[in-house]
Amino acid sequence: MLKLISRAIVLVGCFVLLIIFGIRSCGSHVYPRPSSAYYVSDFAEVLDPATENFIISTADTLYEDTKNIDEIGGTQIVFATFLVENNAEIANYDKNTLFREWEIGKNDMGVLVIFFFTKTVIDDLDYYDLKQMQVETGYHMTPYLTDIELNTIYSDTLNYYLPAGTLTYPYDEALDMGVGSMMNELLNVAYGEIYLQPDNVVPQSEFDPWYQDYILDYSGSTSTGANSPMDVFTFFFAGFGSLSDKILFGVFGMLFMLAGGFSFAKGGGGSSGGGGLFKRR
Amino acid sequence: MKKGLVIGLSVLGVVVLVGGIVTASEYNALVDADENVALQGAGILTSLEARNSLIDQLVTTAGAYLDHESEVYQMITDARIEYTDAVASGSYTDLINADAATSLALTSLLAVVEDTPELSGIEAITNLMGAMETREYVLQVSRSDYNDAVATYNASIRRFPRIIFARMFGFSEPKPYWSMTDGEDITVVFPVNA
Repeated sequence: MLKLISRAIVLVGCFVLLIIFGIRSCGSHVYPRPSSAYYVSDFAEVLDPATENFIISTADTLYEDTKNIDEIGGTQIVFATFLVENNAEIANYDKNTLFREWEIGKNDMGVLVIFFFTKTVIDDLDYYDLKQMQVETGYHMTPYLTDIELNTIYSDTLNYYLPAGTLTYPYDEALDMGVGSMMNELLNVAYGEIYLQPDNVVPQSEFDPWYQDYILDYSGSTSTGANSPMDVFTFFFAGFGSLSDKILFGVFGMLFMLAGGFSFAKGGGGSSGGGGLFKRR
Repeated sequence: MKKGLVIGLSVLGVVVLVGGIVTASEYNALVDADENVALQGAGILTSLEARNSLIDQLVTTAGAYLDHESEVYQMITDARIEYTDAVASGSYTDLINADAATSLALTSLLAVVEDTPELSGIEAITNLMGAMETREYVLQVSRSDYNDAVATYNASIRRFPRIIFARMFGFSEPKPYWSMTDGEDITVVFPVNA
């Protein structure tokens, strides 16, 4: 009888701890978790899967190629889109907090590009207005990507294909060309200026025609899972969360690993201090 | 008798050892918290210097258009003097006041630039305004990080039993938060179309 009572107490205790950890971990995050694709979180659902696939594959390759370069650290480039009601709502988003929550880049070598859209319905069609672009760079990335350089990249890529004031719609080629072109320029900075690998640099004049064909060929291809936050289990299993969260979910994680294991794209643990760019349109 | 002495000395030795470890650990924790405040404070100083440099560039570029804005000029000049004196004194309270004065002057300067179409149309001015917004955001993050470090330190030196070690090692003075005297955050108001 006593044994039964003590077992019940242990079980109830574990249940209470589970709830406490759950509440704690939910409360410690202000923004949505990144998507399971990690490198693109297209919550506004405006990017063509072809663009999402391009960013995810190139960003993952960049990180895998550089994460073991200890003297610099691994670069992660992450894109996020949010749908807002109006300009005032953008103030509710803090790029620095989002960057720190998503832990982008190893050794603070991360880049977070955020697009804020509003939606307008004209003749039963959804149009999107890109209201603002914000970029947050990790502590060690800031000297490589200054606000001046980011401004130039913005003018030569996104604003070139989708000038300020131009409405767009989901899977618009202009938007995808601008975003893809911007990703290429960020990759060029990483490979060309940070890791000194000129062979991996693709000049914009060569990239853009290739990317145009790429979008045409792969537009509307398979979804990448970039439109919704990753599930809670994956989030913690991917290495985010507090120590107590990690202990709790680590137990489940170990079980999964023992059962064969699988890997997730995840943040490199990076932090930032506000460097980057604000670009209102 | 001999056995009792050995046990007594052993107990004393363990107490001294544990006491020494605890004291060293508490002292190191206090030093770390103190250093973190200093580190975050240094981050703010770097940002303040960069902001002053940008203000100089903005005033120089705006040039003659600001000649009739003597009040704004005076605010900037006074804030600069206050900042220079604060750096010389090394007082955080003075630096916080100088930061608040500069932020107020900068808000006025940005409003003048925005209200002067000849200025807001100049690309160099637009670029400087963009750089200023980024710099101001970095400064805001630095202030927030500093205040977090101060909160950790101040709470740490008041908590039991660390309060005993804090007083013992001279860490009993709380650090000032980086905010205005009424506790409000220091902010620069950017024009909507900046």
